[in-house]
Amino acid sequence: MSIATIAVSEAGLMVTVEYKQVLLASAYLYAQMFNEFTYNKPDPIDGESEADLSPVFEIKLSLLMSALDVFGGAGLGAIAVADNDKGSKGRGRRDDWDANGLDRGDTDDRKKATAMRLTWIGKGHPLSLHLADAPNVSTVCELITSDPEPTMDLPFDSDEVAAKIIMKSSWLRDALSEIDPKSDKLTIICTPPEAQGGRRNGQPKPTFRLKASGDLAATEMKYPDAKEVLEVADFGTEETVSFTYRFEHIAKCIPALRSSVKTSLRIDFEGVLSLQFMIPFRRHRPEKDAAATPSENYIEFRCAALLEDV
Amino acid sequence: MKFRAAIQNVKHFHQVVQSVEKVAKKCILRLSPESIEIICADGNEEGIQVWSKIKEDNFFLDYRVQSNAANTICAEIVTDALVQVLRDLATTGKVETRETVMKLAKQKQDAVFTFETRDHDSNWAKGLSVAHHVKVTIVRPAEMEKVREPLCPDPDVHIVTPPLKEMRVVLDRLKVYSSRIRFSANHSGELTLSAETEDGDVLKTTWTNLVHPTIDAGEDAPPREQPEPGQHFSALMSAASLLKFMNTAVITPTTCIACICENHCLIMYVYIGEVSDQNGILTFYLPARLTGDED
Repeated sequence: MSIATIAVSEAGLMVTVEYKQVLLASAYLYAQMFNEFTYNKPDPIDGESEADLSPVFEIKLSLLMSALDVFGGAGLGAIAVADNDKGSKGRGRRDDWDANGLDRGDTDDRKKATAMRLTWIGKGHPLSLHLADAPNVSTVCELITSDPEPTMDLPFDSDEVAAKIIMKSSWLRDALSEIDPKSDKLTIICTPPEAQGGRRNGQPKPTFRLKASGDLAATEMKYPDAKEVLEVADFGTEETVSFTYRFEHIAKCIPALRSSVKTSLRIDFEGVLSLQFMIPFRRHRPEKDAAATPSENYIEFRCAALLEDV
Repeated sequence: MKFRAAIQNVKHFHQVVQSVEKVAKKCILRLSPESIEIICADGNEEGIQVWSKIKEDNFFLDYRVQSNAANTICAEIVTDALVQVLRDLATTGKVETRETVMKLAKQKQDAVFTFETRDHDSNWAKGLSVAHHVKVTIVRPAEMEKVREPLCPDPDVHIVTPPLKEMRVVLDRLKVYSSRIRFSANHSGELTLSAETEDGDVLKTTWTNLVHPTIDAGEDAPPREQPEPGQHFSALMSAASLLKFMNTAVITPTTCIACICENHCLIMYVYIGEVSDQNGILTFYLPARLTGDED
């Protein structure tokens, strides 16, 4: 059963899972996404630094997922289209619970989203969930928490970024969906303008290419170098940046990609890939400095490159 | 040994057999002058039994049955084969202008149920007639004697369940926690389904404001003490058997009454059509599991 690590702070929750020692995925759930979010900082005990205090615990993820979807009200992999106004009439107060399109997979408007309260008293206590669907149905769930095992070490050096691309998630999604799921490897090739050859049309532009290869076939895709495709393309080098990953690992991020609107793709000089997916939510509480508080959640995937480019 | 009847309500017949098919590969049809019984006494690995009694005029017109054994015929039939014929009759062509006769016949050495269907609408099928044959095994009265409805203690609680489809979704999540699901209810409208992992993670769903039907205890039933209204009675069930039962939700609209015999079994009465129509009831017996036993 896969284990997830949950870190709690004033900013919200961070849920982290790892896969085969090469892939690390973290979901950042900001406090603003919740209707209410209360965090009581634990009191420091002698000899502990502030950092040690930040509460972290482990739970079994599949149990948490099953509990959240106990009434079938949570949908996985829903595409994050702005359905803000859809069906809001007649939903009344309940509409508050309809968080961000992430939790609503089906189109059955009569089915209301499930309301949930999550509490954790602290170390050694279970994580408890209280879920309500209709007025006469409720679910309680208690998940045993344990101290976290040391997480996998896969640092991404944000000072040593070789290439950074920001684009609409749909662009990347469409490309990945074209790739044969049985493909073995995926090579990401980012070419800075300086490394481009012929300068036919004035200014050279950066390019972004994906190359998938399997036993039987290889696919190569090149993104047009138009501004509306590659919104940001920054390079820390004048050389072409090319690293190869297992396609199986990259494919793990597709559900998160589908739910997101924007993708930031970064590769550092060690080849560590960082994919950040921006997933919007509606803020439920009006705040004075609304502009300063986030209205997106992020899911980040970090993946180590294959050692040899064979 | 003779049996002949015109099928009047193909839809209900189809639904009933369909839900029986979800739990058992074979069933016995006991045709007697007053009623039709559908019995699955040993059909599956979970030990679910189905005993249902339907008044003959709910399904049939011109119902005639004759035999040397109190004019009763017991025939074992493969449920899937029967479902296929009934699905065909219920879904293709025009049900309104059609007349279907079901009878017991002999084909070479085998006993068969023959379904002869004839369309009266001359525009539609020009009087097309079709016959389906389903092989059956006649169960002799001496063998039928051995097939007995399970004896259960008086249930500790009766309760009208939430819609089966709703419970099914919850069960699907609970089974991630454990293959053992606790089914419990009290006398004040609460029904709870819960599961626990070996490590102690718990998931528990409770429905409230459910209705308790009034059940007439038999005249010679010993008087029982009124239990505390809040006290829960429970049975530990295998998730597989509950899910199998929930598949019968194909009968719509479905009213289902659950009866819990604490730590013994669960009896589910599923009404065919509206309760007030008295179309008949399917009774499912689901044995409870003890805490220690294997799957």
